[in-house]
Amino acid sequence: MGIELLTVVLLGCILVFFALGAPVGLALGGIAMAVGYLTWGDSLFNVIPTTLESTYFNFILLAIPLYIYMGQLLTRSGIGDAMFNATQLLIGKVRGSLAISVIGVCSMIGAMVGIIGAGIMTSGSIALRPMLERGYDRRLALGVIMAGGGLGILIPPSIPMIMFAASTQNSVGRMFLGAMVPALLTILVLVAYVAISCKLNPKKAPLHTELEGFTPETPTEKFKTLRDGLAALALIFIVLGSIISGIATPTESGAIGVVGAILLSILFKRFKPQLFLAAGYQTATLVSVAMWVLFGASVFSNFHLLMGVQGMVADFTNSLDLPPIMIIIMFQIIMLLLGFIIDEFIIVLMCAPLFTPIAVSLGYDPIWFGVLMILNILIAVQTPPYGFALFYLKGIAPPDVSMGDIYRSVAPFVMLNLLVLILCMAFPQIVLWLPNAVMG
Amino acid sequence: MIKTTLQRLCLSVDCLVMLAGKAASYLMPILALTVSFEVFSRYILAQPTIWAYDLSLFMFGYIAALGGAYAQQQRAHINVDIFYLSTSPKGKCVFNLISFSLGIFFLFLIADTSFGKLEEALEFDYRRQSEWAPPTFHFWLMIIVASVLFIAQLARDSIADLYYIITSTRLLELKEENPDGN
Repeated sequence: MGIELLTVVLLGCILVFFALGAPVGLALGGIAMAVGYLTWGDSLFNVIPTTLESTYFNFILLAIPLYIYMGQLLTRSGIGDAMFNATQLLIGKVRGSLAISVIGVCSMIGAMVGIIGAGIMTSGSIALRPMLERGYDRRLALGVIMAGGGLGILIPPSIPMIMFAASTQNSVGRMFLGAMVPALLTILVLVAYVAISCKLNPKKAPLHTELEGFTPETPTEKFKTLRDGLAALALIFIVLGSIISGIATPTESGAIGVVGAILLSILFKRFKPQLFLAAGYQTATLVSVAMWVLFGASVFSNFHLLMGVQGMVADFTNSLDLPPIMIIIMFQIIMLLLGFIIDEFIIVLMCAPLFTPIAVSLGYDPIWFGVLMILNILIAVQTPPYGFALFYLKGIAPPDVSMGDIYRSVAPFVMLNLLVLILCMAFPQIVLWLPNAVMG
Repeated sequence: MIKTTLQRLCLSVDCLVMLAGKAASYLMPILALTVSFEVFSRYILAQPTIWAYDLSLFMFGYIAALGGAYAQQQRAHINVDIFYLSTSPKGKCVFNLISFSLGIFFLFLIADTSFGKLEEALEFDYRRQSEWAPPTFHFWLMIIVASVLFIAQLARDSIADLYYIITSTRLLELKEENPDGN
């Protein structure tokens, strides 16, 4: 069987089993091995133990459980509330301040958690009700939760970025640095949109001089609120700083983050042994889910690469005779379409080993391409009608919020994210300037 | 009689898988402490250990692999549920039977190939290529156990689905009513 026909058969099987709701990791691995057996025989099964070793004995991927554990400890120890209160103290009297705080704080929470679904659900559970209770426009409230919580995969430390770096043999530190400026740009654009739209339409965000429960009264309370918020922010900067400065590997910085999270929870007087175990239990489940997807997708990817899919894609792109940037745009569109139906992990694991070598052979920087991939996934998963992050938002929204409300609420934020993607594509220095300046 | 036997079988699998999943989750704080200790030892005491690197990788593997069956029990594995959610309960059971069969096939291959690696590791005393050089046989044994537990969980779910298709009644009334008919 030629590689073209094999690819069609594999993609057909994936469509069928995904439509059946099969667990993605098992489906990808099972399809690859079943189709592989029919075309190549049982010698192909050796892919399984070699992939097991390369997946589970990978020191870069060891960072994943540590970052997730740090995020779980932080969110369970009241860090979200602490950061929320601190931002309200600083900008509470600005119109739309609650929505602006949500973007800032939720993007930080998303960054700690590192996974879109968990980012949106954690952010929403902390911030949605306060906005709705203050009379904020429902669409604005839902939109900022989605925009802020979803940003988690773009702000380091991000699990999909670690997966990209591991599957393309690139530096995690460079990847994190490359995403910093686009992430800041995205936050800036989103905050500007909220501020301008609230200014133009004040009904969207009623101004409250006092936000009960969020505005500390006495100087001592104010000091504590600021201290707690800054301590949380400092931990994130320490974790990132230790990687970027080269002091620690991403895995070691994850461990620093865990210890920092425990110290912060002690500082916030919320540390209990149960919290330690409950966070460990939740982390173990998330890690297991991520690693079974990663393993199944790696088996699929290794089999497909062994069959020569990279050559096929290279030949196909060459035969199109398009300018290199058009090839990149084509890859972006493919990933965007995939993102409508599948999860961020799977897109990275399936597309990164396939598309990145071609992008590099066309003369593009792999870090730039990786950051575009992450931005693209960020947009795809929130795009109606099937972007899967929409369903996470629906899950935490009040019962009377319809899917139509959610579609309308995310539309302007998706357009703004698209604007940032286009800017990063048109001006690669937005992505590459910082890693080149810091790491050479 | 048959129903009671099937119920007992399903509950036994549930219990075994839950025990393995929870036991693996207790390794998570130990993993975090091990890597933290290595960071402390390397950067503060300037005395890096020779064991923390390999030990943390093994624990990572144990957590990730052994938790698979328990994640299936909790319906936590990622799937694409666009069409699945709009299907009737019996339709979902049919979908499950097909997709779980593929999963069992893949897991059987994992267990089978890992058994070959286990035999090799025992026969030739394979070890990690590091200063500490711990043996690797237990990793392959753990992968076999994890795969067998996952197969057992999928088989248990398939039995529950098949029972529902045939009798239109649930085999087990679960506390958390799953939308997929189990």
